[in-house]
Amino acid sequence: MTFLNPAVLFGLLAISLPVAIHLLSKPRLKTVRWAANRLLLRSVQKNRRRVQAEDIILLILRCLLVALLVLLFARPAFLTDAAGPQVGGEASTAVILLDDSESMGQSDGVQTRFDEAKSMIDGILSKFAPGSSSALFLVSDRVKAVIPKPTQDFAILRRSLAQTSLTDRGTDLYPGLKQAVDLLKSSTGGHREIFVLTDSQVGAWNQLAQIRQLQEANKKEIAMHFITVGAKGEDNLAVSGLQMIGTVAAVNQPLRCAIQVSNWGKSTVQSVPVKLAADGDAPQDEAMIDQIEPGASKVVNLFVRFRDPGYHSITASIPGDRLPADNQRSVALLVLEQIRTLIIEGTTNPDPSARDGFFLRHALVPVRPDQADQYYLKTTVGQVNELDSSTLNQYELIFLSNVAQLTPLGAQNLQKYVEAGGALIVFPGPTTDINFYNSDPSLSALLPAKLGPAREASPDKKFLGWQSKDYQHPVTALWNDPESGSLGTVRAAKYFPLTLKGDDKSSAQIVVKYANGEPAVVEQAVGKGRVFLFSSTATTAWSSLPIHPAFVPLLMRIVAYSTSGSGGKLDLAPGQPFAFEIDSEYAGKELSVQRPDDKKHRIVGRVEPGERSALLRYADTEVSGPYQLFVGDDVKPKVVFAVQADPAESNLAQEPKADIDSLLAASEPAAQPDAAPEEKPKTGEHLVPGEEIWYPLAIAALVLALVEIALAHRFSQSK
Amino acid sequence: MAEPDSQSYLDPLAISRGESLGILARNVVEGYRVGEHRSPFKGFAIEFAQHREYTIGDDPRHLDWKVLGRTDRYYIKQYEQDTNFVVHLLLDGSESMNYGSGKITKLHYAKALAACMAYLVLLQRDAVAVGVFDTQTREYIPRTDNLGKIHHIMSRLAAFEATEKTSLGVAMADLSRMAKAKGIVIVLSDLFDDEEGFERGLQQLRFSGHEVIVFHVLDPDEIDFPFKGRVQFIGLEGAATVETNPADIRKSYLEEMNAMRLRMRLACDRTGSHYVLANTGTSLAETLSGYLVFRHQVCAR
Repeated sequence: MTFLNPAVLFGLLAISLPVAIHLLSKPRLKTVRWAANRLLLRSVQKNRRRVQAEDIILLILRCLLVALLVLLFARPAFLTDAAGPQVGGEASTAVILLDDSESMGQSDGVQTRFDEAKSMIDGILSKFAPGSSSALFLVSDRVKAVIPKPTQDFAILRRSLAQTSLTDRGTDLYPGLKQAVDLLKSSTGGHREIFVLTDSQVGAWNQLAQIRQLQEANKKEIAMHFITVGAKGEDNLAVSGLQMIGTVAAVNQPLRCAIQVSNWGKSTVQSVPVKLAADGDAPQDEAMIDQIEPGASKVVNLFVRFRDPGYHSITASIPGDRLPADNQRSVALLVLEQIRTLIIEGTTNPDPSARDGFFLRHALVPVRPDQADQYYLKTTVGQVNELDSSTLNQYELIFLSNVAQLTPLGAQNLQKYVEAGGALIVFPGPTTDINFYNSDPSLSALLPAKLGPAREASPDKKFLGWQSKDYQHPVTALWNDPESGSLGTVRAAKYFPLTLKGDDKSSAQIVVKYANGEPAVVEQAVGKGRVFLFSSTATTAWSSLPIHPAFVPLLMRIVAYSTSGSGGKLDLAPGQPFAFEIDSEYAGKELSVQRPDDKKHRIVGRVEPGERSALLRYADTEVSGPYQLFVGDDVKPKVVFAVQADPAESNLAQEPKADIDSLLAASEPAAQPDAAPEEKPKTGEHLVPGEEIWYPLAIAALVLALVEIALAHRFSQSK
Repeated sequence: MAEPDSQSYLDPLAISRGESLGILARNVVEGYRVGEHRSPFKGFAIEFAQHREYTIGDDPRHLDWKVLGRTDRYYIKQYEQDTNFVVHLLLDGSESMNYGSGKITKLHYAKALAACMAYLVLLQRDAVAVGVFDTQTREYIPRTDNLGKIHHIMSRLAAFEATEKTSLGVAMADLSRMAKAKGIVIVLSDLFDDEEGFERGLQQLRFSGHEVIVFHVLDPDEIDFPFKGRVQFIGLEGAATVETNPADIRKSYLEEMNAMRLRMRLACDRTGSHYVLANTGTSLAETLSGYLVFRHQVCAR
């Protein structure tokens, strides 16, 4: 044991004070001429020994109290052998990197890996030699400098450490290490060290080569210590995916969701119940997965319905395990009450079945005629001049089928409509004037591709089929699963070759290709809206698509994709800021949020004013789950978004020990780079002050003081 | 503490209460004239006492002729004589009686008590004798039944100053020898003396036929020991000086004091004497009337 303030030990001389006071004190004496002295003498003799014993006890207690207080202020501390790799006898300048990714939330039943790492950091700090300083970074897929520069005030560091909390982010250690190295390079401290406390998840070492390189380049100046927390290869079951399939989210319509559950453990998991709930309410649907093999994933389809239109969240969950963060997964979505579509036919024909919008009309409302009124999707059929009307914004989607040309006003209205958030789906046909389509400033600005002259399929086969696999676009990704059928059997006898716009501003994507690689359907976002361009007809004149089984689901997926609120921006990665445009009338109103980790509304700011609309912004999205944003006193959320953690974080497999050991081995010589191999120090030779023991001493002093007060009070009572 | 003048010994309230109650002789006393108290001598006075069979030598004048006429038996009529008594007031004049926590000392309280009782006794035409003692009898006022002598008694009491140690046993033994007729002996003392000597003295007085009443005069400080802080107790009557913290020994002292009072009471009980605690914190009237009421009840049985 040693003392950090040894000079204070001179204060032990103060022990003589109670003795001196006891011996020298002359209390004011009262004199009484007393008759009953005989009785008094007998009492005094009888009590003399007890009174003396009480005096001595109080004297000893007071002396002990003084001694304890002096020891307390001398700051006694245990001596620690500093010969270990982590701490040298001299003062260090260190950076501590603490992994705060989702996987650090794995619990051993008592504490999480994150808590364990915090305790370890506390131990490291207590072992630093006097004069050492340290910075503290939180590392996940971003680096957060909690204590950005090394400080000697470990009290602040400990307080900051205690206030840190887990995120649901992924992990990448390299950026944090790089920043720590850069910081230490600029510091002037002698012994420089980096401590990395991580669960050593495989994903954290994605840049292992760069880490090795960094360590190699700096091993003479900086020692790196990699400390692994948590056991290796623990089992974990996770909801690794949640997707809405196909249909549009509409009021009272069953919405099918595909829930993927992954088993990251090393043993087969039996009977996993999966539940699906909306808006945090009771589960609406559930299913049981019989068995999931180690390392495998299983998908179950569950349904959910919504009673009210607006923004909602869906949460899929499985029973809790030791990593709670990935036992549920949420998505946010916009539920519509009704979707209105306008079908513009290029030609007129008395035979309804021969009209350009016949197949579209029936595919969009795939129910019996008597049920059409109750169906959420409404269709209106019109001619080109309909587009001259300024009431286009009453429709969510507008289809053009075999339209030759638009009026200039119609084209301008259409452009405004799309930029304001509407969806345009264009099916060309025999009457289509490609020159107009390619040259009209409004229409060409909307279309994601230029149309070439209509081309016959190859003469030998007479038709051209669509691609049969490897669908990249979300709309067609469903058909990657053979159980959903195939788009490869869609045939086109004639089509307009599409040439995607090559400019940088364009976000044009191929939705599906022909088997020969030419684009069959392309799409792009324009303003807040979206435009799909098909290369062939919406009738059976050139293409078999209208009578193909995939036509209805394809149209539904296009409708869903085009009307999904802010176009997929409702689902974010942890830490990604959320922004959402609303009517400008809300600008300046209070913005509150209900987070997934807090059941109460918290006011987080105000709605920001914009040029044409107001903006909702919220940036504290470190925790996965649904977030509801409220404006003013609204009871219903103005918008809901969901934060989804990286499914890879659920894989708790650790980097092979050999890799970590090699990093440690490479780091060890750095402490004494040029010195000859040194013998391990003998016990006691490199002892440095370790943990202070003021706390038990303070408790003892307090107890002693209380005992002294109690005894003095008791002794002073009449006896 | 200044000694009050002799007139202040007579407390009007005590006198007025005592006057109505009077001091009755609990035992039969031998008086020298007819008075209020029963005499051991059966005579031929007014009050019939009993019949006795005639024996040779009896005066035939006292034969009850009526009984003889009816029964032919010879009976003598006997009558009870009332007599007066002598009260011996024995006052402790030792130095320990000089203690007083309030306005008056124990000695002054005892003097006042003695004066009041002397007045009451003289008032009912009984006789009183007063003795003040320490190691020996210092003052002695012989027996008198003259009420006019009360001033003389009080001035003698006022003039006395306590300086010596006590020897209560000796004083009581002297009195038992000196008193010729049975009477009432009233002892007023703090009893800080040899306890065995005190009990011996009581026995001697009782053996001589006296009725004995002991007024144990104590100061409230001596009963409650209320001192605080560090106190030096200088012993009266040459006792050692004690310096102590009273709170440390209070409980023990009170046990000693209560034990001593109990021993004194038991000594009185054993000898058939009355023990009366005279707390100087209590008014003289209360102490005196309290005892006289008690005595009245006892004598009435």
